[in-house]
Amino acid sequence: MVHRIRLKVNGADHDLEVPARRMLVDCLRYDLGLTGTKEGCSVGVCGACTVLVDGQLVASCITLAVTADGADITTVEGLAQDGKLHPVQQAFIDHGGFQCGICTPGQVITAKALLDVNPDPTEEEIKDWMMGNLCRCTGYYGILESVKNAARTSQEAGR
Amino acid sequence: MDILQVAPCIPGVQDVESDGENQFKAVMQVRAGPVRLNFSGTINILGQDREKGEAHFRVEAADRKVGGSIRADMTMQLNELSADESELVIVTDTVFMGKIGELGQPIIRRKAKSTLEDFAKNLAKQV
Amino acid sequence: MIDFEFHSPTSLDEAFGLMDQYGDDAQVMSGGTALVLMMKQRLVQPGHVIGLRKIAGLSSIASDGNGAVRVGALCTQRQMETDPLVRQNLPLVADTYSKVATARIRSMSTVGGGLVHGDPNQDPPPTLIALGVSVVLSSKGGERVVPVEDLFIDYFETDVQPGEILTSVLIPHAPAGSGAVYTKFLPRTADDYATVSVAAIVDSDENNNCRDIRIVLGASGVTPIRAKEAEVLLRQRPLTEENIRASAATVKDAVDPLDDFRGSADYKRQMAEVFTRRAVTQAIAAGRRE
Repeated sequence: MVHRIRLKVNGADHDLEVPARRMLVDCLRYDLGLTGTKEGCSVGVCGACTVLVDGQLVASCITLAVTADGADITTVEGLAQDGKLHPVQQAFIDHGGFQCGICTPGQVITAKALLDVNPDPTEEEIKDWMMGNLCRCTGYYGILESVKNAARTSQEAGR
Repeated sequence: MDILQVAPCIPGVQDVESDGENQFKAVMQVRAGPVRLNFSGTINILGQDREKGEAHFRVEAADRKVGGSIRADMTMQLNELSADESELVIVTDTVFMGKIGELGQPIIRRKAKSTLEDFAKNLAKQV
Repeated sequence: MIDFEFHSPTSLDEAFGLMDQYGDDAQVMSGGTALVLMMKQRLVQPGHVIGLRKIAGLSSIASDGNGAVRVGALCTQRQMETDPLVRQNLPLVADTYSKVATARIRSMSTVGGGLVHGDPNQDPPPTLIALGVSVVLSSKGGERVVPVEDLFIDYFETDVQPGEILTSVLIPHAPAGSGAVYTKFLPRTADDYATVSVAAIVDSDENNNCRDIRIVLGASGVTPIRAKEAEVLLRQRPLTEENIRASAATVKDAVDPLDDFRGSADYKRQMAEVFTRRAVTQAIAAGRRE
């Protein structure tokens, strides 16, 4: 059954009509054309589909779009500001945080969420937080380095 | 072996009716939490030996909604232990196919075990 | 997924009305992680889903003034991990919830949803049972309070009746001076369910005698299991290594684990004993540090 919902995505309001069974990841990718968010496992485990809903980490592949009605959503497309990459994005480029890139949007969103609540995480804290984002390419060291450095540069920039 | 009397002793079995010689139709409901399975299928008596107290039959049923089916070959053996005590031995070889097979063998085995136990209790009550 | 109609009531009364109207054909949804997964697999095919997230008053955490904390059913597991009141007054609860899966899953799933789901592999139930936690089940007709220990009936089956919604959880403090521990055996990945888990609360005196003890196991059967026999062997007795060993040994008969990819039933049975010993020992040490 079709439902009318309003989603604020990366600051812009969207009024949509979606069937109840539409997953948030499909709504973002197909209804809104925001294909930055990827679908990996479809069961909420791999983390590729991670977005922020009202500031909280969410697996969009197991989230019904109708349950995000009225929420404030951030996808990877919303991280750069005024043409400048978010410190996490820049760090992933500078420190080998990705290879094929499929897990990267999820990694970046998750890392940003970490730094939002814990601007100076220890290595253990980073590993614990990022544990839900699987990567088949990098072996995780590049990701760990990227997040550590993103924390450092964010702190230096006072951001 | 009077299937019409025995089959309803299996918890969840309803609507057993005769469908020809040595063949019956039945519906069985199984629940595991919010998952409700509705199996409908046939029970075929493959062989009976009244003297030995033995019966073989095959159950084939499917839940088309959830997607999956069962095929069970069962042997029931009734042994007289004394004038008023009998022993019922049930051997079953059950295959779960499709979605329900993926649900998890351990829980299916657990459910099958408790279903058989309840069946034995119900049968004893009837007798 | 089969299509359905989604409802977002803004009050409990509205939710009860919808549950009444659609009966068996409706599923109530909290965080939705478990339900959406089952619906995607078509294992559950409700014609109507009643989402609870717009109902106010179900996500607060507050002291009830009686030495207990009342937690709204829609609180996320992440909130239990981070909330200052929980961390301060119920450290075992915060610690246990922090061990659930990943930060992302904890941010989506809720306290109430987890309990109603009835999955015996979950982390919170052993701790909640050990603490003597109760849940409030609300319906059109009123409320009833059920101890978590009595809530789990069978594999994925709880005592929640049709027409009832779990609205809050009442968590008493652990006895003052007691040591409490939740150990989770994870031989595979860190975000997994436990192969076996044990929650132990030990209240001991200066002479190392046990005043009271609770031992509850998770991932060890079709429901969480309270090891009463093991408790009896230590309650009001000296907490010697010998007594602890004897107590833990009885756990092998208390559990009824399932064979799966996290371990064979036999392996889990043996690990249940090992981790009970460890949990009790660690709880005693934690109590001494208090």
